[in-house]
Amino acid sequence: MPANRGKPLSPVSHHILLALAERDRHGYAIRRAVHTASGGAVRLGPGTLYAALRRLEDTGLVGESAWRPDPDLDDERRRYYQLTPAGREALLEETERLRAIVRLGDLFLAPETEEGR
Amino acid sequence: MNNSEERDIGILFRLLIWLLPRHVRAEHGRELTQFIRLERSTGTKGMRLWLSVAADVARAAPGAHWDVARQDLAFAVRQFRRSPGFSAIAIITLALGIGGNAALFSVVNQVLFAPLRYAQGEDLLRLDEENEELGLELFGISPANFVDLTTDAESDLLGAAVWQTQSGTARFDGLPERVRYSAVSGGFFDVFVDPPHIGRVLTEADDHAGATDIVISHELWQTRFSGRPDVAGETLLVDGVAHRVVGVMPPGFDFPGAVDFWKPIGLTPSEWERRGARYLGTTLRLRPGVEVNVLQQRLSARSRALASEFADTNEGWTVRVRTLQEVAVGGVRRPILLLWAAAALIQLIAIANVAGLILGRAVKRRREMALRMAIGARSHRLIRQLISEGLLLAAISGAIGLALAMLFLRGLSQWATFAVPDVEGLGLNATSVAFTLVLIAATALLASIVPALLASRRDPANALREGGGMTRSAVAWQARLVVAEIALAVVVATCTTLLAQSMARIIEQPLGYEPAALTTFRIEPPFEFTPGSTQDETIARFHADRVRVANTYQRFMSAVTQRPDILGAGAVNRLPLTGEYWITGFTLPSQPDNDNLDSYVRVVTPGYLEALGTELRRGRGLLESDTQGSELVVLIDETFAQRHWRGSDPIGQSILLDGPPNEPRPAARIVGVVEAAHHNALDQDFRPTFYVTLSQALEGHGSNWGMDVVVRSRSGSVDPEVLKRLSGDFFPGVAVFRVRSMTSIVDGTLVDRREQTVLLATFTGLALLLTMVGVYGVLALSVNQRTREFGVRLALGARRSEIIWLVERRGLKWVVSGSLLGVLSSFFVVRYLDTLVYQTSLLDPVPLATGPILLALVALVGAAAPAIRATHTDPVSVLREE
Repeated sequence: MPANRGKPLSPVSHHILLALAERDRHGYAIRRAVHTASGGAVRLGPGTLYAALRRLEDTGLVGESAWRPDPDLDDERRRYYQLTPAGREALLEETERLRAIVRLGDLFLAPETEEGR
Repeated sequence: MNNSEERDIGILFRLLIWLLPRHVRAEHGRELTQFIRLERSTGTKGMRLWLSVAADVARAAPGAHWDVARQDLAFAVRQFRRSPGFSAIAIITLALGIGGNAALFSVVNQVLFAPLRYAQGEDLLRLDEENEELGLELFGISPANFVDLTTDAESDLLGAAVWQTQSGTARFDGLPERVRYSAVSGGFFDVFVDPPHIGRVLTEADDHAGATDIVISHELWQTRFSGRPDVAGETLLVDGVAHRVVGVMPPGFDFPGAVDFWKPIGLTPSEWERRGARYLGTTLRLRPGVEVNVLQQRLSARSRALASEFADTNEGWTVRVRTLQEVAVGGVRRPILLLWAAAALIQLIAIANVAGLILGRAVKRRREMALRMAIGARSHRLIRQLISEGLLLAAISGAIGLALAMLFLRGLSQWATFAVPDVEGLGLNATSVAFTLVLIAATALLASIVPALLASRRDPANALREGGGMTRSAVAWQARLVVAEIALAVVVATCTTLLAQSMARIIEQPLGYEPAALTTFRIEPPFEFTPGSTQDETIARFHADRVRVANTYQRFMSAVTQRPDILGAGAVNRLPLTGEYWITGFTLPSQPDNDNLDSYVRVVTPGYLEALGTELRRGRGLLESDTQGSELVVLIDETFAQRHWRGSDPIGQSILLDGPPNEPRPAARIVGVVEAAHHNALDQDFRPTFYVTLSQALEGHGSNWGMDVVVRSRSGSVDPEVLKRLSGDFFPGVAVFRVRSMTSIVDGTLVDRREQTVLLATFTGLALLLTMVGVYGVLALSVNQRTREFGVRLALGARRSEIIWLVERRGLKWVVSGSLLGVLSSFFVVRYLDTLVYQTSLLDPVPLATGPILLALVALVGAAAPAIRATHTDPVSVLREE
């Protein structure tokens, strides 16, 4: 089901998709990655995380990954998630949308605003 | 962390996880557990961790649930669009049911449980004496019994008072006007604790014979004293006696109803000792914490003791305590609850109907459902979806229903005066809306539960093969629902028939008078005598005044009858159907020891019964010559004659009337028998009554010489101004009031019953309509499914009438079982109608047969369209499809 097409992603979904863009992860690893990437600002709770994952799976942006790490490090209860092509598309779109907003910001707030990258 | 602690926390966490939607739990349950375990290993522990997870779940769960609901609702909306006919029928059906229930709930809630207007009104009680043997319910109390009963129950009460409502003629700006007042005992304003608006209330110290200090109502203060703040000390002239205003009550306080002022009752010590005369109203204030039934038991015990101690006055008498709240709504309680019950039954029919419709549609969608199951949809999702459909239906219907309820309430408060003693406040309030929301939720659940259960039970493979198990059990369930609908409709129809038949019996019965062309009005000339120094002297002066007023009435009546348009005129102390009456005790010479006989007595002028149209059956009527000094004579009615002389001739016999104490009872000779008349209410049995002329009467007047005058005219009505002028000639300064036609009085007593019957009949019509829709819906579906069978039958040469009968027969089979159930249930229901049913019973053929016959018709009509469609099956195309 192609959802979210044209609609901005929710911050939680956005973070999850970004975490999965790097590589396939299990749920708790997503949480850790988001926590680190946001500089400690975003802590996903279990309800938020799995409700969002459910929604992303239902809308076809995220799928279950067949990838498993070294069996010694793995726990059989874990499920790994990956970005689907639609998910990648949505993430690109979102990035593009944000880029456009940043450009607008640059335009209106110039000259002293610096673009941090 | 030890084991038990871990389990403890485990339960708490599991509780949180349960708050997430099932599909999230099902997919990610293990991960969620794992997540929490990992969090714990990072160092966040115990309560802090739990709280952070709780906060997170609280944020995430609503959105996750909404995701599911939104899908279901979107799906439901698509379904509704796909079959607009189905949706319209379902929505209209439920909207009518919900609207009716919401409206009646508002009436029940706002009328039956309306708080009393009086301060701390919930603790106010009314005490009445009753005599079952004599058919006297909720009768007044006698002074001595009041004192004995309330003294005994002193520890349960904060106050007790007696009162007697009276009326008199006051003069405002020189013009006579009738005022109503309540003569109250000293404790009255300890029972009613509302503080006065101005001045003071009456106290024990005011309560002495001849007291003239009064407290006036807010309304009288506003209308007659222009709301002047310095009203205390002003004088009000009532029946020629000056009364001093000492206080004004707050707005709305008018106990016992529509009174203009309160004055001390001023009973003398000898009056307080009277035990046989039950003429006082009683109000008690319960001590907080005491149960009403505890007080009732105590008073009943005391009453039994009094009955054996004072057998001559108290034998057969019991007491009954009711809350004032109960008294206030007593008359409308039954009818309102009855209507509410009818509305509830209709809602059940509507729910059964919609359940049947949803079920029918589920059958049509069985392949789609089976397909969804086969590709992995869980049955709980299908159930949730069906319930969502039910919820959406109920919510839309509920919104329309609320609008209908508002319209219905507006109509009800304008039209159904019986249900709405306090018209102003009636409307939809927060409680009614909350009730409606609960009703909507319950409706959604009930309407979708059967389809949902069937959907979850079904085997997908079987259903995919068409005609599988679901269809059969669904059809069986639909039939059961329709039978239930028919049974409920039979109950409603039976109740309505009973009420309608009662109404017909009441209208058709002889009243005992001829109300057409009768004009009535009341005048209350004051007593014009001063008490003598001895009791005998006072009584003699009272009788002399009675002769004076009787003669004046007689001359007044003659003057009225001499007018060209007038056929007859007369006066009576209490007109029929005004709710007022006078009862007197008497004995029969043949049984001198039986002094427990009572009779209604009407004090009349000669010519009254003739003017009223009450027929003389035997003997003679009352004459002008039956006056003081001549032999005391009475007319009795047929009920009286039947009760005491059963077949033998009462004329010439005597009865011994109650007279002054310690004197031989005066004997009255019976000179005639008249037809029995409905004096109290048209739906009560006749009560033994005798008539005596005003000049010979020994009682019948409490505080003045008030009489209702009836005038029969050739043209049907008399100009009230003419009557007022004539009255003024004979009773100058006496107000003429309650000018009405007798027909309007009779109609007035029937209006409540008529409204109730019409409302119930409307509900019955609705129930029948809904049932018809139900029968139609189920048969239409079944005909659809049996197309092949009908095609084959037609191909084999079946006649159309045979096909029609095949379909109709199913409807009629349902009617047979539904009627059986309905009639049996009616036997349980009618016992709650006993006060409303008059001279008819469920065992009468008419009420017994009406429900089943009506529903047979309903089923025939409901089945007609599907039956005709069945005959239009084209055999060729059916067989080709094969």
